[in-house]
Order: sequence, then C-alpha cells, then structure tokens
Amino acid sequence: MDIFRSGYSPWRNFDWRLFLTGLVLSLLGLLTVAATHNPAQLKRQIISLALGLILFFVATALDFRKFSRAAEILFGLSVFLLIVVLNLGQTVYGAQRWINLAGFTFQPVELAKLSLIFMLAKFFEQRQGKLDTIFDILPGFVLVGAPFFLTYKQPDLGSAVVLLVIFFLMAYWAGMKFSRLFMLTSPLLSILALYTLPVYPLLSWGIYLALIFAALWLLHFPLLDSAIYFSLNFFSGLFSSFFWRSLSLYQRNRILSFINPDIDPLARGLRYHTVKSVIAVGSGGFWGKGYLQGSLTNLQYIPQQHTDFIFSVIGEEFGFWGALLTVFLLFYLLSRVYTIAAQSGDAFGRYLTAGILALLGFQIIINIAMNIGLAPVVGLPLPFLSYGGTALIISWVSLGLVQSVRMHQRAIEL
Amino acid sequence: MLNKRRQAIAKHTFWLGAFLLAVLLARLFYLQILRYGYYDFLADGIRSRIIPTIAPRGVIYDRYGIALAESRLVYALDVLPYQIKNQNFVLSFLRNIKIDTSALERRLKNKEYLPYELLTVKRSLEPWQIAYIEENKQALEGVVISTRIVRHYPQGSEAAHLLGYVGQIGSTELSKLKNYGYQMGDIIGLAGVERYYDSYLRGVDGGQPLEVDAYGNPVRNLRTLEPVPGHNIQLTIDFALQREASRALGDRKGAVVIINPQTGEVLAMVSKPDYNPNYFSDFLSEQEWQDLRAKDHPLYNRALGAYPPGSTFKIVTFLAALEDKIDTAKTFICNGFLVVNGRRFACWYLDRGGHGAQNLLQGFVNSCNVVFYNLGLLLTPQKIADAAAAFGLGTATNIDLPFENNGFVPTERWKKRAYGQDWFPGDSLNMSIGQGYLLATPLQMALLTAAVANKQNRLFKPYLLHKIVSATGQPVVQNKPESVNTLPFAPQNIQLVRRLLREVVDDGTGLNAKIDGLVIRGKTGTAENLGKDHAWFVSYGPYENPDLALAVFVEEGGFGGAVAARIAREIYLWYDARQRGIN
Repeated sequence: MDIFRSGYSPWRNFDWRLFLTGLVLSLLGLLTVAATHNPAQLKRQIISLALGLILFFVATALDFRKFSRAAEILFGLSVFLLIVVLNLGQTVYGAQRWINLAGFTFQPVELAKLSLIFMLAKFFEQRQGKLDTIFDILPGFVLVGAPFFLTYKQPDLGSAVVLLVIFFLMAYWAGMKFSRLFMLTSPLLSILALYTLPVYPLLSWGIYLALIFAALWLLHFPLLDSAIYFSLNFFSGLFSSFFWRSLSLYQRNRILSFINPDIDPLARGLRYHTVKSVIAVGSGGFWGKGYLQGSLTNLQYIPQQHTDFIFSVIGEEFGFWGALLTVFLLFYLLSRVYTIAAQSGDAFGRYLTAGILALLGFQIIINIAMNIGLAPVVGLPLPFLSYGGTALIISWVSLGLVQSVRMHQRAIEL
Repeated sequence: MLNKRRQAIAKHTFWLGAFLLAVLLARLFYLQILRYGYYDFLADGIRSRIIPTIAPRGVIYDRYGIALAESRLVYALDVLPYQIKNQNFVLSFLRNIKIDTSALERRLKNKEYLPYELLTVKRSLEPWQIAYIEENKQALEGVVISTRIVRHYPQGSEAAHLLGYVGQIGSTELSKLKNYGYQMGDIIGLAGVERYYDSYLRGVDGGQPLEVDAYGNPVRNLRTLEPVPGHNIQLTIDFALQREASRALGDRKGAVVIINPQTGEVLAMVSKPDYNPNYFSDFLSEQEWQDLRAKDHPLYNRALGAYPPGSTFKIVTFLAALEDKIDTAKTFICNGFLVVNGRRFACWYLDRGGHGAQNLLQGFVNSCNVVFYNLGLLLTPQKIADAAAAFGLGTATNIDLPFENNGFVPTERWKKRAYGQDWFPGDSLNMSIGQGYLLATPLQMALLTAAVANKQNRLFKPYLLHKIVSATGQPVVQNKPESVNTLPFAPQNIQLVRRLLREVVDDGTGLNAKIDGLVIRGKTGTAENLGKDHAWFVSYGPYENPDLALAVFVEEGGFGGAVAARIAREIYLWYDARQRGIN
C-alpha cells in the first residue's frame, strides 16, 4: 500500500507502545490459558488472536470516522442479536450469552459494547458539550438503555454494568457535569439507602431523599429536572423490591454473599469461586509456584479459571512479581488509551477513545478485583488475557480504533 | 476555557485510575506478601483430603452367640450432579430400576448441593440393580456405584428397642463428642445399646490422605492408615426368650421385661409397637416414614417409660405395713368402696358388692383396695415412700441403655413444694394402691419382683452387657452382677410375701398365669388411666428356685389378671419346655 511510501503517512504516528503492550498481554494470555490444560481452547484462542490482529490493522488503517457511518447498522444488528440470543442462545452457566453461527460461537454483547461506544460518541459530538438538562441527555440514555436491558435479562449483570460505565465516562468526557451524572445514578443509591443500611430502612431512606432534595435545590437544577430526578429516586425506592425479585437467585446470592460473607461462612456455595481464587493468588507468594506448577490450578479447583479467573492462575504460578507485572502492563495500556483520548483534537475521536478506555478499564479493574476478593463475581473477562474469542477480537478492534484515532486525527491539540 | 475544562476532566479520570491501581496493588501485596503463609497453608488443606476407610462396627451377639447386629458391605448409589449430561434420562432410568428418586429430583431441581458434592441416592443396591447400571454405564454419566459398610439387623424388628439403631451424627452430639474423635458425617449409635456402647462398637476409622482434584478424584496417595474394627459385644439377652416374649405380647402396645433374679441380667426386653432398625441403614422411603411416625410412637421404648404401677405396688405397701407391725389378722370390711373426707374411693370388686370381711393376707391375695386404703391411712406416706425407695422406685436403675425414665415416688415435702398443698388422706389412699402421683417403669417393676424372688433379697442393678471382646478375640470388658441394695425388711416378712404371691396365682387374681407342675408367683395390677386401664402382671418362676423375674405391661390392656397374666403364662410354659428339651 502506498501509505508506507508516502512521506506524510499516518503510520508515522502508529503507537508502538500501545500495540506491543497489547501483544505482550495477549501472549501472556496464551501462556496462561495453556496453563489451565485445555489444548483445544488454546488452539481456538490462537486463531482468535490472529483474527483479532488482522482486524486491528484493518481498523488502524481506516479512518475511524468512516466507521461512524456503519455505527447505526452495527448497533441495530447487535441489539437484534441480543434479542435473538435472549430467545435462541445457548445457555451456559444459567445464562444465555452465546449465539452459534456455523459452529462458531459468538457473544453479541461484545459487539453491542463497541457499537454503543460509536453511537454515543456520535451523539455526544452532536450535542457539542451542551448536556445541562435531563432532556439533553435523554437520547443517550435511550441508546444505552436498550442493550442494557437486553443484557441484564440474559442475565449478564457484569456486561450490563459495563454498558452503563461506558455511558457515564463518555458523558463526563463530553462535558456533562458531575452533579448531573450523580443525579442520573441516584435512583440506584436510593435502593441502596433503603436496603443496605443496617438500621431503620425507612428512616435512612427518608434522610437520603431529603439530601437529594437539598442537593437539587442548592445545585440550581432546573425545576422540571429536579421534579423528575426526585420522583425517579422516590419510585425506584418504592419499586426496588420488585427490581430485587427480578434478579435471578444466583445473582441475588452472589450480591448478598459479597455484602455479607457471614451468609455462607464455609464458602461452600456462594463464595466458592472467590475464596478459592483468593487462596490461589495468596498462596503464590512473591515468586509464585512456577509456570505450570500451580497446585490449585493443576487440580482444577477454580471453575471457569481459563475465562473469568485467569488472573488467579497468574497470581498462583507467577506470584506477586508476575501479578504486579501484569497489572502494570494492563494499566500501561490503559494509560496509552487515556493519553490518546486526552490528546485527541477531534471530539468524536476523543469520545470514542474515552468509551474504549471505560470498556477496557472497567473490565480490567473489576475482573482483577473479583479475582482477589474485592468485587463480587459478575462474569467479566480480563481483556487480552481471558479465554474467549469474541472478547479478544473486540479488544483488538478497540485498540485498532484507538490507533486510528491517534493516526487519523486532523490536528493534535495540546 | 473549554480546553481547561477538558484537561480537568482528563485529570479526574487519570487520578481515578491511579487510585484504583493503588487499591489493586495494595490488595495483591496484602495477599501475596503479608498473608502468604496463611494462604499457603489453606492451599495445602484444599488439596489433600483424608478419604476415610470406615472401620467396620462391632457385632452385637446375644448370650448364646446369635448375631443381633452386624456390619455389611453393600453397594451404594451416588450421583455427581455436575457430571450428569441428561438429567431426565438418568432419573427415569433409576426410577425404572425401582430406586426412589424423589429426594434426588428435589435436590437437583432446587440445586440443593455443594459444587462437586456426591449425592447418595441409595445406600444398598440389589445385585440386579447393579447389573442394570453397569450395563448402561456409558449413558449414565454422573452415576457412581461405590462400596459402603452399613449396619444390618438380621433379626429385623426383634429386640429393636434395646439394640437401637445407627445414623449420621447430629450437630448437638457432634459438639459434645468432637473432642473424643467424632467427626462430621460419622455414623454413630443413636439409640439403645448401639448408642450406649458406641465408643466400643465404632472402632477407629483408617484413612488415606490423598491429593484430590476438585472432582474428588485421587491424584496421589500419600500414605495409608489401616482402620481398627470396632469391638464385638455379647449381651445378656436370651434371644430365643426375647422372641417368645415378643410373640406372647403380640400386637398389643406394651412391654415385657425379663430379668435373671439371681444376677440382674436382662434376659429380654420387649416394647411394642416396634420398628425395623434396618430402615435407618438406607434412606427412609415415604412408607417407612409413615410407619415410624405412626401415632403409637413405635420408636419409644416402653420398657423404660413411666406408668402408674397400679396394684403391683401393693407388694410395697404390704411390706411397709408388715414392717410397721400391723397385725396381719386385722380385718377390714370391703363394701366395694371406702369414703374418706366425703370422697368415695372404689374397690375393683365394687360391681360384685365388695370383698366383704378381709384380713391383710386375704386383702393381698384378692387385691382388695379397701384393705390397702386402710393400710394407707394407718401408715404415714413417708413409710410407703421409704419402702418404695428400698426397691429402687423413683430413681434411675442405671441400666446400660440411654433415655431411661426415673419413675416417681411422691412425698409430703414434694407435694408441698410442687403444688403448695398439704398431703391429703386421699393421696395416701391413691399411693397405697399404686395410683396417684406414683410412676414406675416396667424395668423397675421387674427388678422389684427380682429382689423379692432371690434368696438374698438383693436389689440388683440391671444390665445388658455380658462382655466386650475385641475383633481379634482379646477380652476387653467382662461385666458382673452388681447389687444395689439388700431389702431392709425382716426375712420372715419377705417370706410371707412370697407365700402370698404364690396364692395370688394359685387361688387369687393371677389365676390365669397358673401352670400345673410349675411354681409361678406373681401380682396383678390394673392401673387407672385417662383412657382404658393399663394391665400389669409382675411375677417370677417357673421353679421354686426361680430363673426368671418378669414384668408384663400392656398399655390400655384392661384387667391385669386377664391379659397380662396370660402373656406371662405363655412365656413360662415356653421356657419350661425349652429347659426340659422339648423345643
């Protein structure tokens, strides 16, 4: 291609640090998946990585703005697929998440995450930073709402929360005030105030509502907004028991056992994953037990270790230094994405990169946190490291998009 | 301006990320550096698991070596829920080979199991069931057959109450016994001899500390500890006599206790209704549960339960009167009742106009209540209570069985304390004929009879254990008779009671127990009850030098001289026939 010959090639701006960090992490992922003793999965993961790399370069080579034209179609497709998967998908571990296309299983929610980022980036670009009233943000909320609801119904609480986090970080980067963002999340806090505080639920809820009222008043929210926010808080609290019952039993148990470990002191049912994973990581010590020497890993003590609990393999076999290195690599990758987002002069590119930062960052942090017992088990993979073709390919496509934003932006604004 | 705002937003995001990074690193440092030793220890514990080799429980024999309880190797059916591919197929297959899957279905449906838990469906499979499962092993992934040792009672429901049964240790027992080597999931004796002598019978489990994977598959065998089998126990029970007593009692509710009056050995102890202790060796089916929960409490050992002793207690009142030097020639008139403080106290002979003039001796033989009412008025209640205490009534016999009832002997002080009331003459009247507050167990009444029967007038401590022998034949415990008390009554008074007991059978209320050529001595009793009367017959025989002392108690059995005396007669007849080699 002539881009390599051209003196003004955008490839001069190719971020090698971003690419190489992603590559090292992917190889570390292969190494770790191999440690969970499943040759067939290793083979599939290598194929997915190859495919991911090809798509990475395709995304890098193309101007990211060109994708935005396809965003509506992709978003529509992914919402359609989410509906399909909800009705026809394969049930694995009690949730319908996979769709089977000619022997190739595929998770529509991964596509939904990426296409949502595009749709939101477009939306926020159009708003040009004007996000003051609830009606300014409403179309964005509708955009995130559809895939959120469908994912939540699968049920895949983790991915549903990822969609929300993407929305919030992008909205913040698009100039929405923190107080507005807070008010958007406040209905959830209303439920927490009613249910998680140990004493006098109605009293604590009442105090919470009074505080919301005061905040709306003091922060000069428009009258209509205030009324809507306040009633949202009021009614979400009122209907929260209905919401709680809509969660499936295992979701409720996981949340409850995380909030209150005493429910299951022997960790035999609910906290089984977390406790075993924490023991595996803790018993790794500083140096680890050595590659392929992890005793709990070898004895297959941790279910789904090749996917959601891959970090526990690293913690057990490579110890503190290995875990430290992995965390640093992941955060270095995030810092590159962050820097590109911060430096992008193009609003659409900036929002897009911020969305990808939220996508990767939230999954990385929550996954590691749940591996070391800091977060409930929600079923989110560790980007680049966990086994799972769709997630790996989408992660690489996201990196390609970030590269594209860096290479194809009109001007660098510092 | 806009640029500044944009930089602020980026900065906030950066610091949020940095903060979260710090949290993750701090946690990793805590887990892997500070708490490494703790988690390393835990990791070892997860990996190695002791696969216990259950020690076979000791055998229980009767005095002649007939096995009453033994351990049996059986094939058990377990299910690993995670490995089941086609749940409906597995369930219908098991149902087809007549295995009750209702409990399994419920647990699978509600996910009532731990990850990787083996669910036991049936503890003892029939050979044909094993054959079907083995033939279809390919299609039955997740179904596992393993060997298990279970308790087996070859005599079925015979002697069920005294043997007891075994089952998994409960949480209350475990908290009491965990310092004595008992563990969760242990099979222990839950009732009867199985419970009382559990520590001898159970042996010491061996074990194979294994490194296992999450599915429980052994990966590496570390070393093996051989199990030590439990000790064998020989009881004083004469099983043939036990079976005969059970047959004689038949389907009636009640108890028969037979004691060797010379030693205190328990030769037989029957309680009806009974149950099959083998039920507890496998999971109870719905029908078996219904049987056990029947309204007559089949699990309850009536031989150790407390009931009003009725007229059998007149032996005690009579001896107390003799000791109080009341003239045996003293005559009372029985019109069928006695009026005291305006209340009418009836004699059982009321329908036939009363016994008429009765001296003490006639009153005993005819079991005349009016005579004993008068004795109750002549004696202080304390004197009757003292005589009862001399026979061990009101206190535990300390037989080697769990859950014994003490019975009860009232006193003036007790009544004042419990009810805040004085002792009324009516209380004395009731007590003198074995009614009112008085309660005794069939076992206590058998011992009372045995104390009258033996020449040394000894009250023995009853016992079931003859000896304990280790599995290799080494003697461990040899039990011997233990006298609790020598009756504090003048020998000639006891001699008189013996003579009158013979007259009761030959010519009195106990006529139904009379056997020509044999020497049976006994006393009938009909204890008033809220429902139908309880029937009693305490007796000893069948020779001048008695071999057996027995108490027959029939709950709601009516007149003691009828039903209870006939049961005793059958037992004596059978015993004599066996002694003479007819059987």
